Amino acid sequence: MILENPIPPFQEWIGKAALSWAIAVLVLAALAFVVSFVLLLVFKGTKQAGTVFKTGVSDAWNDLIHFSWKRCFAVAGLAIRESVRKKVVVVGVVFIILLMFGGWFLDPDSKDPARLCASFVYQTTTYLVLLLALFLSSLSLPTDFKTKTIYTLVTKPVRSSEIVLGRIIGIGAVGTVILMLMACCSYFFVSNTLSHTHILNDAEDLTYVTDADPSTLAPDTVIAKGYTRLANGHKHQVEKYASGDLRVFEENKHIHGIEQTVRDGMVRYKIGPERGSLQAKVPLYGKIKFRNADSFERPRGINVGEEWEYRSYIAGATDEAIIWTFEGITPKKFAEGLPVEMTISVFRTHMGNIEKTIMGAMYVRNPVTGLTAETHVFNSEKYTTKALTIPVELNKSKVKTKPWVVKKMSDSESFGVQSASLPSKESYNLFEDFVVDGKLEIWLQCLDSQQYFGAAGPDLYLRAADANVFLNFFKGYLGVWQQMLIVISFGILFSTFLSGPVAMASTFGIIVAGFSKQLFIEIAHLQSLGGGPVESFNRLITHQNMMIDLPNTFSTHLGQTFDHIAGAFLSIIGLALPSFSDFNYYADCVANGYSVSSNAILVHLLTTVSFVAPLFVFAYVILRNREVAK
Amino acid sequence: MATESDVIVETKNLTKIYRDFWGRQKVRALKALDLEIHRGEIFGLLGPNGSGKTTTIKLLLGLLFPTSGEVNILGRTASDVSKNERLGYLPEESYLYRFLNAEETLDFYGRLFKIPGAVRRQRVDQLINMVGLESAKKRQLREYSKGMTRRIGLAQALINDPDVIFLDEPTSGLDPIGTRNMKDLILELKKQGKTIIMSSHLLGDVQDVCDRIGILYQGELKELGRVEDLLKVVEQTEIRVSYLSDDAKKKIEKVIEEDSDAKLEFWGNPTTSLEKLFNEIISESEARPGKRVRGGENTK
Ligand SMILES: Nc1ncnc2c1ncn2[C@@H]1O[C@H](COP(=O)(O)OP(=O)(O)OP(=O)(O)O)[C@@H](O)[C@H]1O
Ligand SMILES: [Mg+2]
Repeated sequence: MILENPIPPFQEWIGKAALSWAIAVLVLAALAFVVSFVLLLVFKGTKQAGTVFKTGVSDAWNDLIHFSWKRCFAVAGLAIRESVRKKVVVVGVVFIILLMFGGWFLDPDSKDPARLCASFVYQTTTYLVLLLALFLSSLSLPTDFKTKTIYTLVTKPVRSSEIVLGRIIGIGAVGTVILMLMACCSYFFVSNTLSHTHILNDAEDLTYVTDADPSTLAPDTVIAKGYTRLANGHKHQVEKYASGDLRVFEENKHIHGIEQTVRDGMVRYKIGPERGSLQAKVPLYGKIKFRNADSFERPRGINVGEEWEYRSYIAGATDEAIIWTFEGITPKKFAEGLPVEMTISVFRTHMGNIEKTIMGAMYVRNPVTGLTAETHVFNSEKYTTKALTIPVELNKSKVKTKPWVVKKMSDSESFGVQSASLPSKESYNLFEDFVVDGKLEIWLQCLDSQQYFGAAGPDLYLRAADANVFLNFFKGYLGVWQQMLIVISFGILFSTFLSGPVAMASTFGIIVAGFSKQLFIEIAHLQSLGGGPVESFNRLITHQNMMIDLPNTFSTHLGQTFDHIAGAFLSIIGLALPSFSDFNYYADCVANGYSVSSNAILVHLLTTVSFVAPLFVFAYVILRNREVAK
Repeated sequence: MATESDVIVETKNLTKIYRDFWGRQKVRALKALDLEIHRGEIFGLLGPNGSGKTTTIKLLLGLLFPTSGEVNILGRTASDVSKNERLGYLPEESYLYRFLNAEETLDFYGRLFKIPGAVRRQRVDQLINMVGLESAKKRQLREYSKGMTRRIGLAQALINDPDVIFLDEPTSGLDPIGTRNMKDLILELKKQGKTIIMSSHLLGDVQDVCDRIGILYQGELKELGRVEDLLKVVEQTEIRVSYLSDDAKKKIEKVIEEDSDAKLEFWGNPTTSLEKLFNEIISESEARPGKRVRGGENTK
């Protein structure tokens, strides 16, 4: 499994993100301003509206210069006490019970148990923590209003901003502690579920294939084969070599160490704990482009029509190629060669021998001189991840005599690289002859005619390093933490002007809409099939197909007009809607064995702040101008 | 007459109309109140239930926004939070966090005034002592009786050693000893130079401690003045004599009869009290609604 749509690098992301954020905040602020000013005019008249507005601004200024972290933390402390005394710990207990039941229902024979377990714990924690955040945040202020404790509070010098921020901090702290406890429980649960060993019995499980004396054979000759006993629904293939070494083959994405002891002439094997179920690979992604049959550079390849647009294709046995350009390749980082991992999609125009896999070739190419060497010929099955290592020393016979070219659309005549033969060398070194300023190209070609290879940018990457699995598991919870902060901020905002249950329902609405933001935006822009809400309802009750046009009547138009207004309204809400599904990145990373990148953390952290900060300001303005004793 | 700087609270034409969600008028709770309260005095707001006492206090504190009119408190507007630095407020019922104990409650409010730790702890102990809750200071307020809650509410109002103290029905819920203590405390606070604004319908309490009172009826200020002036019945003369002989009594009766206007209404021990005044104002207001033209400062 490859992560799709990896997070864009921070530097590329920040400009566009900041702009769209600024626009959204400005639009919403302007809208809020206009609405409140009109309301003031209606209820207070022109003269008083001006005065009210002026005192409002000066009060806000006073609040700003008198803001105190001390008071803010006093309020935070109160929120923590409230949560603790109202026994939020119950959520933790619920979680542990869920884990216990989860253990029964998770399929133990899964081919990828680590992924299953990790997905399960992340999902459970996300739902529980968000639910907790929802309850705590949307009920806290309304309780103050209901019990009128707010009267005593706001007649102290505490500012509304401190009340709001203190609440966010306090509830955030409670949520953080609970989340950390859940993370620890989860780690324990996952490692406990994954941990197992197998039994291997010399006489019963291994078959000796030769009677020769092992010492007379080459050390890597297989002398015995077999399988371990079943555990967690699987068994491993085992081979014993003439050297006396044993190898346990990978199964369900993990391997085991093995030790043998000889006592009283009996050989005993001890298989160690599983290794590699949980991984934290650090991928180095390259930029993808395609070369077409005329050797021109293209951003995309062929669309084979069947697949969703995400991947695009090259035809086999032609000059077409998929090209990844990598940067930052140094001998220090990749002393052992370049570990490539790829998941190539295969599209067959004729089935031929279905058993036969499609052949492909991988090359490295110097991006400046065009010097190219073939590194691997491989056979590809659909959507299986392949791991290959490009060696540092490249065989002379694999180096192409002529440089390969890619023509840019702009310079159709001069190719940018000389097409003349390059002087041939006795030996080639990856870093000296192919990498220029840390840049290197990796090419893929499909070797079978009438068959196609497809890929998208993240489908091929270099496994640059492996991060600490334990730390990575906890890093994965940062996503839940960030979502929690956003939910808390929304809950607090709603609770500044809505009663408890309504605030809770609204926050819940935000969570649900946020998890399906894409669909929400489609509905808002009337892009979904069958039109907007009224039109869809009309179709529903009149049993009309989603595709046909409705009769051209007044009521149809009325409905569609309403839909446009509702659509505009929804679009505005859409601006303020967090895309919670983006945070699945974290769980996906951990579940699929990738390291959570600092870049992603940074991007998501800023996204979180971009929600929390304006929500805080809105909440402050509303609470400040609310008539407390009404 | 008090100087300008001595005016702690001033309202001009202060009006409050409660509206429902749709903006429809529900109650006119306060009608064009003009009021000045001076430094160091104890001002009592009097009136029957629902006459607008609490509404007035809430408007002064900024808990409610006036429909029209202005509030000036300690030289600031009611919506300016800085004014709260020097305020203390005991609400009608003590609205406190029930999951905190007495000590935590006072500590929390102390923090909001940024009182340094050592001073805060000392003040908390002192106040708990003062309101007589040492034995219950570790118990959560949810377990408190009404009077105990009232006491901790008072302590909370004094945590910042305020200059101006608002007490909304300070004696409600207190036992006789508590009531006595409360009144003593109010007088003690006055001695320290503090300004106190209290509301009550317990006339005895008001009469005992207030310097000036205002009587509200259905949101209108019916009477305003010094307590002793208001209770002075101008048209009546009271003579108190010890051991008056029957002879002298007859002579006096005769003198009164000789005065053509004077009419002997009552002979005995007079019981003029705030209660009487209060009842009089209420019955008069019921008979003739509108502003009353009689009495203390209101007539000017
Ligand atoms: N939140 C509110 N909404 C609507 N009307 C209100 C509200 N609060 C008070 N009122 C009305 O305003 C009027 C004045 O109420 P207020 O609480 O000021 O009286 P009070 O003098 O303090 O009475 P009490 O002696 O009973 O405490 C009453 O008629 C009351 O019903
Ligand atoms: Mg009242």
